[in-house]
Amino acid sequence: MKVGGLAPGRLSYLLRGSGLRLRTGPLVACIRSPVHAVAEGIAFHYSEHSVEPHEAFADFHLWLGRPRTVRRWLRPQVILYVDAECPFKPLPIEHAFPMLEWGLNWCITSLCHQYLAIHAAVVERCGRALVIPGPPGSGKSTLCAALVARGWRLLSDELALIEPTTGCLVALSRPVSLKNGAIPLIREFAGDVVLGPAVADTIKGLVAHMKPPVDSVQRAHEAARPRWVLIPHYQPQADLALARLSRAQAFMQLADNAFNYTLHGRNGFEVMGELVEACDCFDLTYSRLDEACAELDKLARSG
Amino acid sequence: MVEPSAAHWRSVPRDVLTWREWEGELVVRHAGTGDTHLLSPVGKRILLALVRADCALPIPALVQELPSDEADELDRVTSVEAILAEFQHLGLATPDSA
Repeated sequence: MKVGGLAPGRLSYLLRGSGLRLRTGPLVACIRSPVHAVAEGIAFHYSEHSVEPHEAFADFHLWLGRPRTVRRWLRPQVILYVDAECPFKPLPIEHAFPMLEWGLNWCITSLCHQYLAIHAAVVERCGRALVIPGPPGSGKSTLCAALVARGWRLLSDELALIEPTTGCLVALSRPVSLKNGAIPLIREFAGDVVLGPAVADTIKGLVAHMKPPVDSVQRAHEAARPRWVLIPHYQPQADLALARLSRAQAFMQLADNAFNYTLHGRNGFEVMGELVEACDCFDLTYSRLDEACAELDKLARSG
Repeated sequence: MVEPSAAHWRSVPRDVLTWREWEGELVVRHAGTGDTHLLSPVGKRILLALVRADCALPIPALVQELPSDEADELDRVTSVEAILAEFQHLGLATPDSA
């Protein structure tokens, strides 16, 4: 059963009661929330995602609701609990859906240590994955959104999850988070992308989410072999330049952007080494998304 | 503490280090600290010389690991001493106290 196939009112009923068990790739989140914006956001962005039965195992349990303080009514806020833990400060109620997304990211990076997790976007073409590491603001999500709009399969815009025994990247196929200037940029770049409503004044500025393509969600069970590592550098008015990056330098970039590399110890070193071994690594400097996408399409065709 | 005047140097025990080499560069992980370091081609040659030796190595032996285009012998010794000081700081090598 998909979220979009639930009977009218059923989504809200589940969110307000026993919880919606939402599957994103290999993970299941049990989400409970009486907040209307959460239900709206899930209905919009996750319509193609599967709902697991009530008795199914859930990797994490989230609750988003109004705090039991005066801020329940006065300039109302929303608070997130993951099990008994409150990982974030309360936010304005209007930020409820972004908070859900940030909360899911927090759950994965804090709890899912069965994977080696890197702060990176991952897209796939012809069975080969492109890993785009980078800290917040580096432009990886924008480039990821553009590539997805051009037909690359979305695995994730934020989290490269490597299965340590196989070295494969698992897909989450969750909404792509866009910020500030990236929102009109992607609207202009690909008029047929589906963007949710923009939420203003968040801690990251203006935030909107791009709905994952149906194909990406339907293929979320397919892992992908890494083939390229790409460090993006957006520079206004710069000429396009795709330059080789040494594997050693790519290794360090990936390790620096990993959430739990140290936790994995020597095995993390070996897994990261295998990933880099399997990849051609590049720096990409660009100012125009169409040029960047065309260059990466050419890279994909060249094998 | 840096001891540039130390005559002999040795690496930390080999089983403490894990490394991979690509295109002349070395990425090495120290199991004790959990840190991972990227070494230049010259740093790689010096560390691997220390790791592969059965004993502490004198600085003149390590100077031989530098590219032969380094002109001045004093500069070559200074370069090696600087690398060894950095290795000591990173916990990759120590001056031999024997």
